[in-house]
Amino acid sequence: MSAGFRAVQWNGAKLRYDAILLGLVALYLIGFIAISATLWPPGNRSAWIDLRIKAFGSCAFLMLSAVLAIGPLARLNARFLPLLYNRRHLGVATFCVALLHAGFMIEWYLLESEITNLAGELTSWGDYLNFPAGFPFKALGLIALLCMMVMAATSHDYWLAVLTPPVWKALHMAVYVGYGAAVLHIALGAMQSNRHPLIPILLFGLFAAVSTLHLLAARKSEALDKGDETAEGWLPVCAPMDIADGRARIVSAIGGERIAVFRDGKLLSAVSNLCAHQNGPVGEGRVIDGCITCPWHGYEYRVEDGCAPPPFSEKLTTYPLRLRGSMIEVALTPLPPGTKASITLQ
Amino acid sequence: MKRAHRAAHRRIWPLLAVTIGAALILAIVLRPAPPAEAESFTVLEILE
Repeated sequence: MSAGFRAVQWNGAKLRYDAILLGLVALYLIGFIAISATLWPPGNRSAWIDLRIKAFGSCAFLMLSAVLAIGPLARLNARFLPLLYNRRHLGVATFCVALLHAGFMIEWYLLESEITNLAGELTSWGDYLNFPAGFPFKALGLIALLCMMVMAATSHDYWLAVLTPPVWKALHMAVYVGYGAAVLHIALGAMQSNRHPLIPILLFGLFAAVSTLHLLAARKSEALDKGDETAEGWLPVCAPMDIADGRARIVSAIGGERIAVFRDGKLLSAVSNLCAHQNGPVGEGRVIDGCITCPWHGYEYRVEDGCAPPPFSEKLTTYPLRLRGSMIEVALTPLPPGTKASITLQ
Repeated sequence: MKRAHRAAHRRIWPLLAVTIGAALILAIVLRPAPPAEAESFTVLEILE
């Protein structure tokens, strides 16, 4: 957080998560290589390298699909939020596995003394018209790897602070390009040379699952983004007791950003729904010990003024509130971040 | 996420799902046929 710089902010939960992640990756790789080597014993060293290429490549694709599924899963069901909290380490691990996959491919070319052919394959421009077989699918793998490298290199709060959350978020949307390239890399590579039915079934199934989750999450958020009508700059919210204690009601005016109206006992406050860390949806979090806690990474802000408790320095934009009859209304003109704007119920 | 990011997500995913999905289906349908089995002969054909 803002109090100081640390290369990796380890804690018990992250260590446990990483241990499980590394264990699962090792189990998959060992299992893949052991089963394949038993069923189809590699006859020479280059066949062993080929087996490693397949094991690490398929593992990287499974991990990338998981990385992309976590975001919409967390938006659709809050039970998946702990995965979101740890997604960054999964993303960096995915890049490492993909890099090893590419490294083994180069090892294969070196062993076969065909490394010059690799450059030739990538620059045979006429072959880019050959679809599906004969397409230089390694170029698509390279695009996916480069996208993942940018993600992994900037997956740190240092870059988040330097680039600002909106720019950082926009940059990280390149992972979608990388995923599309990875799907086609497999479809035009392994799926063309290997007729095993499991390859298209898994590839299509994973891509369809990830796409469906994103489309469902987008549909869910679309309704709220339509916004509500306002009257003279005030937006009606709901009756105070319609907001569960320690929770928020998220509202937005037509064309406006979302505002989270929190109730903590008799205290009501309205803050921007954008966490100062990664623009996470603070309104989907809850109040813990008097602090609004972002559901994404646990950043905390005091309910009454949107300021992070000392020693931290993040602040949320706040909004004036009023009670009109039995209805809470929030003003659409934001106050400077950290301005006290809460009201207390009688 | 800001409204602009959510709007971008809503535009990107239908586009990705259709284009990559279509390319994937074509890549499956247009896969070249597996190489023909090595020519085999029956015992009688060999004896002939």
